[in-house]
Amino acid sequence: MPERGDLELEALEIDLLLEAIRRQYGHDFRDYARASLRRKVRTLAATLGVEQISALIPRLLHEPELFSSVVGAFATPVTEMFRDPPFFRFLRESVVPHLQTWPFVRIWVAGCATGEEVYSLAILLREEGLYERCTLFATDFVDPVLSRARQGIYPLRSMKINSANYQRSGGRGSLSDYYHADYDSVIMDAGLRENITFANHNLVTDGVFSEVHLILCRNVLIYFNNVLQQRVLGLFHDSLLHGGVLALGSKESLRHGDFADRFKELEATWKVYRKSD
Amino acid sequence: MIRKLPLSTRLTVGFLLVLAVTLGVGGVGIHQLTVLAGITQDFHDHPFTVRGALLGLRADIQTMRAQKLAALYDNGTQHVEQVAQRFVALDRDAREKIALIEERYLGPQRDVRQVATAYEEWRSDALRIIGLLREGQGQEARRLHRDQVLPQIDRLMAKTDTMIEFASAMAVHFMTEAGMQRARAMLAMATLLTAALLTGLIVSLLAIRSITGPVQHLVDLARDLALGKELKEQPVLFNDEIGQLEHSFNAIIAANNEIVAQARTVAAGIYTEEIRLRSDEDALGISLRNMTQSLADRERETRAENWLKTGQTQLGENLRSNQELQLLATAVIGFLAERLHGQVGCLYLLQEQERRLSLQASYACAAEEVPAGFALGEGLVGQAAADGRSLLLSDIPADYLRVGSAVGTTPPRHLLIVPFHFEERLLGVVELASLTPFTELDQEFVARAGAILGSGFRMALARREMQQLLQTTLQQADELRIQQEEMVAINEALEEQTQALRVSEELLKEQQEELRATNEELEEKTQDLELQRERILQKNEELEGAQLELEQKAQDLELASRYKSDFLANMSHELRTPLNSLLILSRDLMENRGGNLVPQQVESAEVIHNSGVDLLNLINDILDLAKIEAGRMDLFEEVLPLGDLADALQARFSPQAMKKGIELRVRIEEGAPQAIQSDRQRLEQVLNNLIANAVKFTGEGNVEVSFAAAAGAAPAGSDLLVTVRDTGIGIAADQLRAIFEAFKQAESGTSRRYGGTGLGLSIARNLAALLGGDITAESAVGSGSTFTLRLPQRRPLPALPAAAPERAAAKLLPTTSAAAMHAMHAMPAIDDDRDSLVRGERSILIIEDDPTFAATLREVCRSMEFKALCALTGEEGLSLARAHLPTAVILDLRLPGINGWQVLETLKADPSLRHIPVHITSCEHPSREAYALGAVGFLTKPASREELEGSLRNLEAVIDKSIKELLLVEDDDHLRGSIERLLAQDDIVVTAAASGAGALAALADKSFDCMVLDLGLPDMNGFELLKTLRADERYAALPVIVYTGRELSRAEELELRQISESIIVKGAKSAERLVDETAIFLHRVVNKLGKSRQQVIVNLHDRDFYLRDKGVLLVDDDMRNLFALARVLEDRGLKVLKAEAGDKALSILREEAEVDLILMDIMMPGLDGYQTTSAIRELGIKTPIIALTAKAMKEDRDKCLAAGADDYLSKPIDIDRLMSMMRVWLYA
Repeated sequence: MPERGDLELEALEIDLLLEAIRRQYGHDFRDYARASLRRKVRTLAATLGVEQISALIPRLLHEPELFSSVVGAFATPVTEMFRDPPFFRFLRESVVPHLQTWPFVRIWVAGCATGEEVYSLAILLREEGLYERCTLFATDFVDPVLSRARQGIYPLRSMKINSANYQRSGGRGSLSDYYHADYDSVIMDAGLRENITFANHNLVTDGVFSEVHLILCRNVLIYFNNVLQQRVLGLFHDSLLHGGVLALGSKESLRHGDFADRFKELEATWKVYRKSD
Repeated sequence: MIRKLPLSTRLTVGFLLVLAVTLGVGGVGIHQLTVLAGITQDFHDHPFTVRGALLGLRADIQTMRAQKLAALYDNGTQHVEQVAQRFVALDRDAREKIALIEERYLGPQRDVRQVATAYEEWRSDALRIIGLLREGQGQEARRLHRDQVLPQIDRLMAKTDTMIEFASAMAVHFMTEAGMQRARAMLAMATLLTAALLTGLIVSLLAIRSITGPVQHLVDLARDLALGKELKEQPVLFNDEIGQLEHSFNAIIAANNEIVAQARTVAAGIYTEEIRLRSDEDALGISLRNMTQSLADRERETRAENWLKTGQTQLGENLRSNQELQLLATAVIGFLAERLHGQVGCLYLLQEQERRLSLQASYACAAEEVPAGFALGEGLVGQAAADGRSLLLSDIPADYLRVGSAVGTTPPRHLLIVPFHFEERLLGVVELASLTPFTELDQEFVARAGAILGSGFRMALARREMQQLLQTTLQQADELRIQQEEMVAINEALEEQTQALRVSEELLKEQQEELRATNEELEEKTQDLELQRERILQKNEELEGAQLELEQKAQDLELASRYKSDFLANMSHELRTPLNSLLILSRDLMENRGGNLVPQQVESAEVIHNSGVDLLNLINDILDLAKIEAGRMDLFEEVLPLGDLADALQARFSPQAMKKGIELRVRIEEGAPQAIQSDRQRLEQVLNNLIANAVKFTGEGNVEVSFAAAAGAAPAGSDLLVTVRDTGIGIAADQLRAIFEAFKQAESGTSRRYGGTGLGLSIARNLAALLGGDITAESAVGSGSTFTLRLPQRRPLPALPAAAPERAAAKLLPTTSAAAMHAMHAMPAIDDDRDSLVRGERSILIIEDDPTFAATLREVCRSMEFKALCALTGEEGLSLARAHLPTAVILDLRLPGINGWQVLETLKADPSLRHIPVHITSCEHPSREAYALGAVGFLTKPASREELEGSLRNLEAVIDKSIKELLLVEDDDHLRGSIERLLAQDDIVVTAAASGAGALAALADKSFDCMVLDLGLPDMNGFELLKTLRADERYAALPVIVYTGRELSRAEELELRQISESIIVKGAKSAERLVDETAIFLHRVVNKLGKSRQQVIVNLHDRDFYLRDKGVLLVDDDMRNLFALARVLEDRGLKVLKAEAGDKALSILREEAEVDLILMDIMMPGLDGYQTTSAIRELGIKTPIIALTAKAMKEDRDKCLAAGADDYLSKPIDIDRLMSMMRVWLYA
């Protein structure tokens, strides 16, 4: 355990590093949850063989390609398809009928990472007959990750658990109806991408871009501090139309923020809310 | 060749050969002689005969020619006939000769043919000539002869010459030939003789050698055989006795060799070769055969064992090399099928949980032909598995199963079903089918294989389980990793929070410490305070004592004051009497009627008189004041028509005013009561004082007296205001209060300048108070003063002699007008809150003719925090309702004038009042009619206070959730009914319409807060209805919720969103949303809608006039944004084109030229903003483009500009910034 003075010094170094990143690349990590960020920065320093965190600054400033790997490190980790099957079951059974009442539905998957969630959602919507009326926005702020999402290629190994999740989420067919396996990879059906727009959007710096009926942003807020969380929730609130649905990760909550009374809780475990004002 | 011949033959042949050679020599000699004779013959035949024939031919021709010639020139026909006969004979002869020549001539036949042809030509011409001659045409015949025949004869002669020469040359040739032939014959004879000699010699030698050689060879062979050498079978060279000997030798060698070969074969392990016995006594052969037999048996056993072993080994290898169960099964069944020459095979594995065999792999089977599984005991496979024993079936029915290939199918004949186990536990079953029977060895192999399969599959299953476990573990590890990641993140967040908590805890501790310190301080202070309080209490007590004393003293003082007043009153009376005499006398003196006084004395008398008058006034004033203060002033009220009062005042003060050169105006304002009830003398005294003062203190300008009703109140029952306004010197603010106090004037100098006792205002004020009113003053130095007397129309004081007003009223009644009577009637008003009522405050209008009950109601209202308005008549109630728009109305049904029913009807008929809830109070019983007319409650009098409060609470509830009107337009009866039930609640009244026309009729009938519209209507399209509504100003703001079961296209949705508030597609959850959405639109404040619009219109100033009519293309997929921006821009006079997608924008731009500016959203599905911008630039359109984006980074800005945008604005859009940006780009 480092001394208190060291910790403070480290905090200062991290502040400087984040400031440098923000000024040079425009990415603002200052409001990320500090503890996890610190851990990631330490790991980065260790990987690059740098003694002090402040020594990362000149390298990051002068090696733009290094920055993209940093962004990757700071970004949301990969996830699996139909993660938390009961959540998807709830979406299917309770949220989709609600969405059915609009002639056209716009959906925002914020922080889509490598796209498993948005493909899961597309499959679900297709099975519920709503896909044709939907426009899905899948956004992330890391371009390489986004292009992986756009490709929709996943390791074959992962499909076993994905299939199990799919079945448990109330899937109406077989997950294999939606991908083609080859060698040790699978590629998702191109048809699923038809109504998905993959776009770069940074929750930290960017604003509202559309009016949407459903927002999925699961396990993203845990990486943000409270200030940023409130900003992002504000963004969601402004993006949703009245009666729109917001789904957060199970460890995330609206409960303690400015938005607690502006959403109605639909599902307590999986943190599904409906905009009520 | 020679050796094959027997010796005797050989010898005979040798001699015969010698004999033949000798005969040959003789033959050759004879032949040579014959050839020579032939040559001689030829010699005769050819040259001689040919030459002779040729010469004969020539002679014939010459003869014929000569005769013809003679005939030619003779001209005698006779002669011609002779010539012709002769010619025929000669011609025959010539032809025979030509034939002979043709036969014998040895030269080229061409020569012969030429001669023959030439002859024929000549002959035919000669015949023609003869013909011509016969006809006597000698001339012609001669010409022919000369021209043709002569040359022909010459050519014929020449040819024959050539042939004769050739024949001569041939004769020479034959001579030479004969000479050469003879020489050759001589040589041949000599050679042949020599050859005959040599042949005799060679034949003799050969005969000797062919007998000695073979004998020697046989001797050698016999020796080799004896030595046991393996010999090759010798070629049998001779056919003779030696040859026979050779055959015998060969037989021996062959037998020997065969035995060796057989021994070798056996040694090589080949036992199939049969040992041929050369005879029954072939001892060697028999023992060899026995030996071979036993060796062969041994060998077969070894091989079977080997086959089994290799099979097992290979099977084991197969099992080992295939890790995956499926591959393993496939390999195993393939191997077994091949090994056991089975044509078809299946492998079933036992599924432990289900106790069922399921097909794992098959060999050469079509999958659909093979059952996918068996229960234990089911079918042969199941039975075999259940028994744990193999089953072998032969000659199974033809339709049992078929072996198939590309070219056909055939049923297998034999079936082998083998279960396999591991440690007594069944693992699976192998089934093999074959066209050929399974041998025992096969079965043995299968039995042995069973054990191997058992352990192999056990291992594979175990491996698979392990792999599955590993896989699961890996996945779980993955999951765990992610979860761990998140857990770590959460943990860290928690830690941080804990840290924060710790910090705040420390802070709290510090604060607590501080608090404790503060507390202690406070405690000390509290103690101090306690002490102080006690002291204060003490002082309070003291103060109370002092107050009591003071009160006592005040009473004493008052008493003293009254004594003083009494004294003054008495005193002044006592004073006035002598003063009167003084005045009369002084006046008399002043008039100087006797004329005996000098002017100085008259002047003195005048001074005495004036001073007396002053003194009297002073005494009167003091007296009045004293009277008032002593409460001894009596009032005599009467009805005072204001007109009279005004006239009196005008008449009284006009002369004075005129004298001073100022104007006096007395007016009765509109709305003022016609008459008031008051004490005339006192009122006039007050007014006189005020006006006198005004005139006195005004040097120039005017004095204005006006009578008016108190402002802001209804005409009836209000106070009377009498205002006296002058343009005089005015009063300083700090002295305004002082002027009303007795014995004080504005300043000490005033009195001297203007005279007066300074008691007037004080008296006026006291009098006004006595009359139930008051006087207020407003003034500033130099700008005049305004004194206002406020009088109630009816003094509230009971001090009034009761009979007086009634008497006065009665007296006045016949003379007053109806209006005056109305006013009189309305006069007894109840004090209420109308003056303090601010618009928007909660208020209740009480229309009740019983003042006592009205007052009670008023108090109840006030206690429930309502402002109260009271009206004693229906008419007043209605006018108050219109004037104040109360929150609710309490209405008595029995009213003078128009009754309560009429009031209720009038209220409900007025659109501006109809929303106000009305509560009925009546002595009658509650009636349905009241509710039907729109009353919300009914209270039967008499009522207790509790009942009243209950009614008010009811009213309050109604107010809080005021009734909302909803129009439902739906053509389906069932659906309409169910939606009606769904939406109709206490506070929502649903009006249903089944058609567009019905909807329009309902809208015309009353106003609605919200409309729910189904698009499919029988008489008109929902779109049309909506557009009709939106075009009508009255309904433009009506919120419309489209409730439709129709599939909408994007274009329709876009259109609908512009003219409706919300769209709900009918479905499972649509009812829920319908309730939700209607609630929003029903309960929001309607004015909200219009407000932003007004704001915008206000903002529309001439600064932006040049933006007017500019075309702006708005490209955004976000409808909300699209409409909001379009609205803002349209309100500023811009022409807005909307495109909800990039390609739409492009098509608009291709068609529409009227676009001056493009506002481009960046993040859109399909073509995004960058792509659309680039595409626009590629079209060559230079219109300025402002990119609108939610992205905030510098690089995004750069990307916009790189794509061809001219400027950039972040979302959410700041309208002011957008406008200033647009001013830049649209400034032309």
